[in-house]
Amino acid sequence: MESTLNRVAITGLGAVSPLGVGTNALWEGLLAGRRGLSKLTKFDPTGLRNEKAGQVNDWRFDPAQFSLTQPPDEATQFLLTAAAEAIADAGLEDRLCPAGEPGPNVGAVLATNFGGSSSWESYMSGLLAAQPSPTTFEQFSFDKALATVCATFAIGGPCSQLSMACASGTAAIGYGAELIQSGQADVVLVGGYDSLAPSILSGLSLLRTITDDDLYPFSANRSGTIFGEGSGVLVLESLERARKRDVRCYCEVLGSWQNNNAYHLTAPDAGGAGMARVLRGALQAAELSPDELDHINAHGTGTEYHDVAETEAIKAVLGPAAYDITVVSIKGAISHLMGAAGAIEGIVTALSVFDQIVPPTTNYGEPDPACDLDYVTAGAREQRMEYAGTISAGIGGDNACVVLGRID
Amino acid sequence: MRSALSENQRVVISGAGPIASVGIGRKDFLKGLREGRVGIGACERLTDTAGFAEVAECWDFAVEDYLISKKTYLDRCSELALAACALAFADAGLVWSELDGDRIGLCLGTAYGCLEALTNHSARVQTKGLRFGSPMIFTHAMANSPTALAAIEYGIHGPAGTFCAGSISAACALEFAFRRVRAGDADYVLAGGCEALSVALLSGLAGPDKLEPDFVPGEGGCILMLERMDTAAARGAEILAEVASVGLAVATEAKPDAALDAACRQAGLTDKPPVFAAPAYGHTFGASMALGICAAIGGLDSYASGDCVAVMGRSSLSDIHGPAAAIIIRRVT
Repeated sequence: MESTLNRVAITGLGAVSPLGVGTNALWEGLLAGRRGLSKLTKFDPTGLRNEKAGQVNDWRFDPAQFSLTQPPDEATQFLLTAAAEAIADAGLEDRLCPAGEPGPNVGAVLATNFGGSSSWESYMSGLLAAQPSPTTFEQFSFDKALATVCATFAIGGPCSQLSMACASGTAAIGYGAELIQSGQADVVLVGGYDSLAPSILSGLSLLRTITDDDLYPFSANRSGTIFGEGSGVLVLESLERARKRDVRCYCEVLGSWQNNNAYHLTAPDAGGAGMARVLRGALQAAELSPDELDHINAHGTGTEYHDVAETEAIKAVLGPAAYDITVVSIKGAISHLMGAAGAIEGIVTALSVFDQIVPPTTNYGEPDPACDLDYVTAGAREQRMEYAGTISAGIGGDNACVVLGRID
Repeated sequence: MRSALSENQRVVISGAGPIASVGIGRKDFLKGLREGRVGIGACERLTDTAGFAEVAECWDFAVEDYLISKKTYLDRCSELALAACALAFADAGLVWSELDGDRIGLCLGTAYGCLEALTNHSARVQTKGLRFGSPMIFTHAMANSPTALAAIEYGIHGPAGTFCAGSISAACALEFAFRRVRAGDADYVLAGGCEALSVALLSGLAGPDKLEPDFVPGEGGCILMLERMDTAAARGAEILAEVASVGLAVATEAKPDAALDAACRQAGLTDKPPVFAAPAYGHTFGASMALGICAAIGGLDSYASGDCVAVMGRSSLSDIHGPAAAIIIRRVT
């Protein structure tokens, strides 16, 4: 016996990114080719390979807006802000927990690389001074943001949280969609979040993942990435339910896959074999053939080995059709947002499908013969598309891919 | 999108690799529980226990007994993950090198990840400066590094994920793994959790009002081998239990058993099954629900075929409300 799976629509988007607070700031900034990188000011960057970062500037968090007496960890602040926008965008502010009547079964799948990283730094200071603060440790704990989101937005359904390095946010979208497909939830908030902190950037800088120059995705003069912070949240719900509510559906989640290269903690495997497997798996889950894909929002970090591996992976799966699609990295505009990267890129991919336009690979440098796909280097481009994918990869060899489709 | 999913794919546990203070390996672990082995005592590995007089430490655990090759560095959490995977493979009667790596999955839960490595890296950064962290230790400090290292060690190329949702982390991993097997995305999926005691963890838990007075922090790991019932039966594997369902939900004052209710709905049960009470081998956080399942497997002997038992957990140590999980397993003979 087979059960029919629900179709999954994306009905709400929320973002906090280096281009500003709100999805509009992100999307309009990307289409205009704006960059959100700035000198790191939240702590002294002395000793890092690069003092630039994708820092979220000029914003203020009001705990009272979320019925909190104290501000939570900064990463959770980003998350709550993005989640509130996504819920409002989906027209669900008053419907998650309607007074006096049963609401929809709402779940949450979140993702982070480092949890409450600012709180971790404070906790470590206390630990080194023999005065560790359990309260601060609790704010660092990975499950704290999940619990806070559930309590703030009256979420009562299935909840989970992933930590798959920089593939986290993308994996969360795929998993959240599965909860709706199988009928275990009516609505699922999915998203990723992370904030910049000294220990994180120190490690990434010492690994030489961070460039001492600028971030040039898929370019011959690329020499590394630049990291940033923020959060992206998407509201997923069954297409049937969304249509009954008569709300805007940005697009449909068709399939996803997540895996590990099983090769090395920091280096991509030869030919991007792991990324090829994740793209192939997501297409199979979407019941699409490779040549049906129109666009890929790539991971495109600007690191020497990754960008070639990702290009090779796309060519391995799509064959000659790889040259017929657009492949974009938005990291030149907003930097690499770690656990938030995949969720933000999922939002951008959804908007690309909805608006039928792809943002440019901002700050593309010199052409590289090894990276020879159509990276949309001369500004945003209108494009008819039915199907788009977004790929993410991370330290530890984790990969995730989600395939989205246009809704008529 | 996948338009349909078969409902006939029953998922079973065909192997278990527990590592706990009361025993290592399924048979020794269950023997320890049956004999009432004391799994709580003084901490031997850490220099500072932040006032916890007793912990549940894996005193007899030595990772060298399980590794394929010598490692330069491993956080204790990764050690537990690697060894638990090795035990699960062996208990399931499977040799990883003889399997198709593309058809093996790995889903691991951990509440706090590799805190000892993170502490070492951050201490260098804070005392000496940003330039003096350790890149090698940093990569081992990521929460997904136990999963990554296990995938590398055993050539696991199939679906993979790391789940960090407090004390229901292992249940989250099992939920995802359960889906992968039912959907046919993998033939075998290793799923469970691991958690290591560390000075940073104990110091962070030692607040005056946060925990119950008799709370004993512990460490451990447990990986379960999930596969389809028909394939397990075809290869003559010992079926330890069937996974009937994994329920995730938020426990509230009005619905304290929301996760169990969800699990019952998914399993098609009209009556709630008995809830297995966790034995006293300390609270093992992200590993706790996987160890709970392993312990419950031992207790299934007293049930009739087809009977179910539930293992429940909640993410937070201090708040009874919040994300929660319930796993229902069924005796199959």
